[in-house]
Amino acid sequence: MKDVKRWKGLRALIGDAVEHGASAIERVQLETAKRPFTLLEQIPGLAEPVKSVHQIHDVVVTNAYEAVRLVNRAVGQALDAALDAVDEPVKEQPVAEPSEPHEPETSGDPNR
Amino acid sequence: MGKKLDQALAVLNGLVGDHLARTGNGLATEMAFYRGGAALPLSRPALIGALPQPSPRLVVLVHGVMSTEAIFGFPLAPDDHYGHRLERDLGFTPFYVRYNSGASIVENGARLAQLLHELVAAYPVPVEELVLVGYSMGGLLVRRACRVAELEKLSWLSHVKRAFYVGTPHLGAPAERLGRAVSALLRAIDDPYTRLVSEVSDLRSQGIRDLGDAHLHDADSPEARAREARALRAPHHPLPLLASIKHHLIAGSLTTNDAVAWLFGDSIVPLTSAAWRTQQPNEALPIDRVKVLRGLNHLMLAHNDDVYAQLRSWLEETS
Repeated sequence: MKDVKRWKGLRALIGDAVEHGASAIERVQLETAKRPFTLLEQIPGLAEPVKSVHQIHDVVVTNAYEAVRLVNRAVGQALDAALDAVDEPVKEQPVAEPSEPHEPETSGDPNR
Repeated sequence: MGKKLDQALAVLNGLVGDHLARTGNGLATEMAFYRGGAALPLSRPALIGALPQPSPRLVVLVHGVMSTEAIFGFPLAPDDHYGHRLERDLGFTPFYVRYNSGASIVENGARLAQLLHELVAAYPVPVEELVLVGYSMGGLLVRRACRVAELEKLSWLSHVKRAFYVGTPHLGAPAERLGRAVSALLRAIDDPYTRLVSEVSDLRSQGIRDLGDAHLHDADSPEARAREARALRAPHHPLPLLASIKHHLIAGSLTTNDAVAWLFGDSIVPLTSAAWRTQQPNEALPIDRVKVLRGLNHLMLAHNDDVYAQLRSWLEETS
């Protein structure tokens, strides 16, 4: 039980690290790309097409990192479910009562 | 494997233990007394079972940041601890605290106060004396726990006549304050990469941040905390030592050179901080209750014959 709790903790910690790490790198990428775009957007004639490219770039980057976060959450939930399943039989194992002596089962195997 | 896993968890708790506790993560360490690597339940039957000959004199040892009670083990004999020696030589019953060192010192101190209350209540024989020994951050927990006990009038405080601090940063740790200032500087630069470095640096736990100023107060406003975050030295610092207890301090010093020792102390805690050399002359401790041991770094203070000899010598004095 304690081991499963720790495995779940490790899973959650890795999930948190991926979630926050992806968000931090996304922010850096968007801010870094913003600088050349801002410069190019000040050039007459280029401003409009550059703005469009800038918006497309930001949407693509945001979606890519959102996909990373979604997969991370899905994998996390799947692992939690698997760990719960591993833990389940240990928690709910019924105590076996002594059974009455009974006739041995006859085998349906015609070769015996 | 068990000890290595415990050690790895202790490091993890020290680094991000506040996050682990806040998110209910199963890797967060719950504060408890540990004996033989397992948590000791604080019930009378459990204590009677675990302690064949409970002494009326108890010694409680509290480890430092990112470690467990195993830090007190001597390198050549890991099962030989200060507590074990005090039991053998002076008849104390030792108790070792394990806790999440990434949580704030204020929270941990309050929990320690509660844990000591439960220990004294469940102890199989009447307690005559409760001696507290804190190593590094553990010393700050001891001070905070005593403060909580005084405020909440917890009865165990009446059993505490003497407290011992080994390598405790009473006046804070300058390395943490410097790290805090560098992090603030990086954050102020308008560059996404330096801000990212600052964010990673700011992931360090509240417990480590508290070490910067030996933060023991609980009533600070958010504004005061923000002001403290900008300052290299907190304005309200330090909190006085509790007057009803005899405090004894052991500080380590890497060298015999006074100037180097003053700057670097035991490599982590400077002498001024570990030896409580405040600017206020009326707060100074008597010279016979402060011992500076030369040639010892911070880690060595947790398991060293000279440190033990000094502890024993002080404990043999009549309280």
